[in-house]
Amino acid sequence: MCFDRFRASLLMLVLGFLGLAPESRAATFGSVVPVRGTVSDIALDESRNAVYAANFTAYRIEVIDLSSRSIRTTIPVGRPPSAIALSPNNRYLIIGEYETPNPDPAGAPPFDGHGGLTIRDLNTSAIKHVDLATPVLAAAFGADGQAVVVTRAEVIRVDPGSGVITSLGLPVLASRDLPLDLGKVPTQIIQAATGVSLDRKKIYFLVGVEDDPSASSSKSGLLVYNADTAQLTAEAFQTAPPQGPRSVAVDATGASLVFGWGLVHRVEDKSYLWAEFPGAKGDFHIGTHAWSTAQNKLYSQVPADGDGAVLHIVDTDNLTVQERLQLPQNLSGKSVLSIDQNTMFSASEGGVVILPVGSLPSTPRVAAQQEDILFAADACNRLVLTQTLDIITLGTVPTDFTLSLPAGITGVSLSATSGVAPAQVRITIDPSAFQGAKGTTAIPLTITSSTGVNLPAPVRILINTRDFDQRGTIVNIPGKLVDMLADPGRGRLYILRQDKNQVQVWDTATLSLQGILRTGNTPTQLAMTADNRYLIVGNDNSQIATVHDLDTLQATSPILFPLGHYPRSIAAAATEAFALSRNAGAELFCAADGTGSTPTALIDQIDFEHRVAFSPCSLGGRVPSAFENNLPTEDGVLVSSPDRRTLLLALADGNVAEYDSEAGTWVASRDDATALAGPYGAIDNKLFLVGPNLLDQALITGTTFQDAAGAIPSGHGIFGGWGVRTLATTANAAGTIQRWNTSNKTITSSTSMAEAPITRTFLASTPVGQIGQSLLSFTRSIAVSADQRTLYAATISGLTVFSADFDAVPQKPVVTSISNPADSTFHIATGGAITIKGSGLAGTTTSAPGYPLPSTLGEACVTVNNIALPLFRVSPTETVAQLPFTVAGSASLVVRSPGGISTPFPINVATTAPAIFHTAATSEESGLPAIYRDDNGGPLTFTNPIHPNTEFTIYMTGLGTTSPLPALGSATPSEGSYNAIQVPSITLGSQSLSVTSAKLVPGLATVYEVKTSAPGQVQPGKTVPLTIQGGGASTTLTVRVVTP
Amino acid sequence: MFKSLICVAILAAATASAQEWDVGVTGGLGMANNLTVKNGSTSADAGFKNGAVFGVYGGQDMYRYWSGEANYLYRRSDFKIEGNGKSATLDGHTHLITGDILAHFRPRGSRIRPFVSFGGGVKLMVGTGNENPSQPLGTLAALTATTETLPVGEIGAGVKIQLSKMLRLRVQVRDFISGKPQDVIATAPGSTLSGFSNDILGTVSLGLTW
Repeated sequence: MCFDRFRASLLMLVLGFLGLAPESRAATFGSVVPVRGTVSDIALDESRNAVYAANFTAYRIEVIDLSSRSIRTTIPVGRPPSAIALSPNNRYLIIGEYETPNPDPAGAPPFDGHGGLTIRDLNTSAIKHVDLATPVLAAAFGADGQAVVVTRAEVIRVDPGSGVITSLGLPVLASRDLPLDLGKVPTQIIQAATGVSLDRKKIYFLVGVEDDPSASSSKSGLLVYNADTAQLTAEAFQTAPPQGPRSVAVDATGASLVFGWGLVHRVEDKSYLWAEFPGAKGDFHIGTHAWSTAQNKLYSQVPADGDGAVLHIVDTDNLTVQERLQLPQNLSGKSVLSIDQNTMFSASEGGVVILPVGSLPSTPRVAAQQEDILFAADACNRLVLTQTLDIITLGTVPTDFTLSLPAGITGVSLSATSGVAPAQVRITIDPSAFQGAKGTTAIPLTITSSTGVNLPAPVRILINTRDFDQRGTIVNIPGKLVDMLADPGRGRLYILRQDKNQVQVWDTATLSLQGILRTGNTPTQLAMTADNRYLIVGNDNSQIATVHDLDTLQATSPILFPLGHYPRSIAAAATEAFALSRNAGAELFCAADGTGSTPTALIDQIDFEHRVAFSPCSLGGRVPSAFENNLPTEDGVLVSSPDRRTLLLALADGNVAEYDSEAGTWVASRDDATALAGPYGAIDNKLFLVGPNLLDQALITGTTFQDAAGAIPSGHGIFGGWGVRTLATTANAAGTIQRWNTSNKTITSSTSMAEAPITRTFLASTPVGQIGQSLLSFTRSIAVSADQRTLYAATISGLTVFSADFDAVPQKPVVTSISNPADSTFHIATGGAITIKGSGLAGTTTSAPGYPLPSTLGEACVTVNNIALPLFRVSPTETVAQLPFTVAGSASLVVRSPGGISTPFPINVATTAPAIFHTAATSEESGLPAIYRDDNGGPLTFTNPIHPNTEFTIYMTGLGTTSPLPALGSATPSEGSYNAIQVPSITLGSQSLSVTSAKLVPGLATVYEVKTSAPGQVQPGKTVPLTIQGGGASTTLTVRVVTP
Repeated sequence: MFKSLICVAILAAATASAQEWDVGVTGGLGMANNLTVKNGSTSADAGFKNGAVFGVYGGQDMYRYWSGEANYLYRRSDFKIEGNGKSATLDGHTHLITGDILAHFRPRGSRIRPFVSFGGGVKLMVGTGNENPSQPLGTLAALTATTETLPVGEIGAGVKIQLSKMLRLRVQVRDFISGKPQDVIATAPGSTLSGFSNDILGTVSLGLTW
């Protein structure tokens, strides 16, 4: 063993010298005060600058000095201390004791099962001992200064001053007797935890109610003590997984609390599971919670598979993960916050961990500014593409970072793989490495840091290598987008982002984000009420459905579901609404003999007015249904017909059912298919689509679309009276969008998409910590705008937008002329702007959103000598682009558009060909030469003529190369001067003018400004020729010259 | 031209020194007709705005019914162009220097002497305002801050009233006829300015006679 250790150390030393040391892990947040033993409970005494840690196995209280962060002293205890609490006035420390040890170490049994209390007056050091019949499990002080102590047999109230005990009653609780197996820790032994509201008026105890030898019982209880009324109430529940970690945190007033893996809101003294940690394993002994009312955040460790010791900072309404911090070791049990809530103290596996949560802004943390970076390559642009990634610090401290790509990735390079944030890293893509994909390839870019304490989310590098016969415009929307729903009445599109627990509200006219609506945890499906006023969201990790008023975009009261029911899919008929709920073990008592059953899933009927759902014994409705309310799988969806007359229930196991709102019950059910998945919807109240199947009103499959092998249906919609469906093969391949005739149910066109539509498989990713992922087999990935002119498909990068004529047979591009856009002559020059005229030049009419200019725009691109040109704007008949700086002389121009590739068009590119822009305007004239008098800023016109000594500026294109040379397609930088190498000569009449400067205009591309002035003696005239000559080309226009 | 006419006026005064003299000051109002500027189907009115007139004169009753005199008149005459609901102006004035012959209907010595006059001289138009770079109707003509001289002919009529032995009142209307301006109202390429300029001045003068 010693040899092995030595050999490993030597290897690390050698690797370190070679710079090959294994990748360092992130730094950790917080510091550990080690305790020799196991900590069962802690109490914070800020008046004495100390934390009291109950060292269960060492029979003592460790008094930890907060300044030195070391053990100041110890307080011996006669029994293993299982609980500890400090009175509100900081005077009394009450120590709960577990079982009484046999004074004879060799005697049997080693513990006799009797517990006790020690009450220590910290001002006088006076001590009272109280013997109890059973072990103490938990203790806490309320606002009244009385201690509430939970023992295995009863709950008692203790007056710390007098030692008087009052029984509060309640049933026998469970914990493990000592001794136990090796490896067990206090949270597994005691199984109880306590949390107190900030106002100390509510005390919650999470307790064990079943004597489970494995110390991980699924049955737990919640005791609620009201300090105002001195009343104690109790609830018992069974959960899977068990309610671990054994820790409780409470908000300011006790209205909400988090324990185990659940966030509970108390409504009329009942508990409703508002949200749960999606990846909880149920371990009793790992994890904790602390509720920061100041930050309105929860600091929680809830272990998830493969996650290690990670503290999650989550929202208090739906447990949305905001940040993940690496801990030095697992926390275990109780956590408390300082009065200013800037420091968190947690019992841990190795002692007590002190977490300076208030100092997070000054703690090294690093992240990427962008969630996604989308590279749009195309058939034109096989040159490398570069974009900038911003690595930022989340606080104020510069933080190191390291970037890494998955092994074996080629075609992606980074300007730096490490550095110190804030920093910018250029990501360069060689599209040729991905050219075979034809869709979008997603590559995760991992960010790590040796000093940063957080675990940043990876950046998704998206590389789209579409061909021009692939339709649609990609709009990047990061995140796991699992459902979308159009709101034609409001011109909106609702997109459900599951990983952030939010609904994004998009304006379909501008395709801009209008707002964010918060959901429950791990939302799965959207629905609108029959009057289209409310948006209801079903959640897989909340036992509520959130409801938002769509007129105000404000949250309203959620729909409360029965305990154990998670509404995954919701649909509203004309008068009734239903939810398909996953059932986590709740019994449905419907048998005649009163016995219950536990369906895997079931239909809950929604009483929307009172915002509650209930579980009918049949599938429900205004009258009982003929079908039992017992669904074989929770993997299914509900959807309403457009007229709200019918509802369709589709399950992944092949079952379908239909609700008829006129009959007021579920009228049809079939199980013809062995499995169903993919798109779903009601074309009308007599025709439904599920996967590739069209079902009639009796749910009989009439037509099945015969898709190609490997094609996975994704979305379905009605677009301008036609049926539209999308299909995918692989995530990085092109998708297919089909138009079909709803009358004869035949497919009329099949068109390639810019990228693949989403499918359940494509959406799935390795779960990260407590970020939820619940994917249904069914996908709703198509929405249509109110005017039926635009279709939105959820695709790999976010959305792909289609126009109504998405499948029109495009015209082959034909180039008829090339000119410059300045004066529309055929003189064109290196680096200058050109206007291409013809037909079929682009799929749409659009302009570049800004600089740098894209080389693909409106589904079109242009090359000159195989160099992609930056594009200002495109349309089917006219495209404006920039010529490369490297092309001069004879060249060949080719346009690629959805219609194909144009015949090469010969062009002759001059080194310079001055051409004055005609973009100036007055109140009466437009299209005037862009020549401006410097003295008054007005354009040179007949009424604003040249006088002697008039200085004026000419804006033109075609002056060729500059020194230095800006990047092709980029705006000329504002720093420095990009002077034309060939300065043009200018004459006014017969007089030569002096040129002050000739350079590119900052902030623009292809536009030069030439500054000159008239001589002191001018030749007046109404039409004096002004000639600009450069190289062998010149341009002349007439101007008015007056004197004086 | 201006300098030579000044010399003529001085010479005339010198040669009349032995006759009955009449010198005085003049004030009144000038009104000009509009000229038409056209460019294709677009047209506008151009010309000079009405303005006050001041001046001096000196003359001699050389004969029983005939007399001669020299006149200098300053006329405030902002340039204007207006049409299609738009208009533009430029500050300006005009100097009128003429030599006139007066034919009286009553003989010398009568208290009231109606007369007609005719003569000629020069008209000096001066643009003094700031040019508007985006002057409305600029596609037709530009009002320009420059100086332009035109020959001018003049006809008029009036009456002289001898108020006392040495004081004479004169009321007179004159029409100064000249060609169209080219520089102060410069037509844009493609535009034409047509017509003659009639600048009608109504004046009242008070003179000393001896």
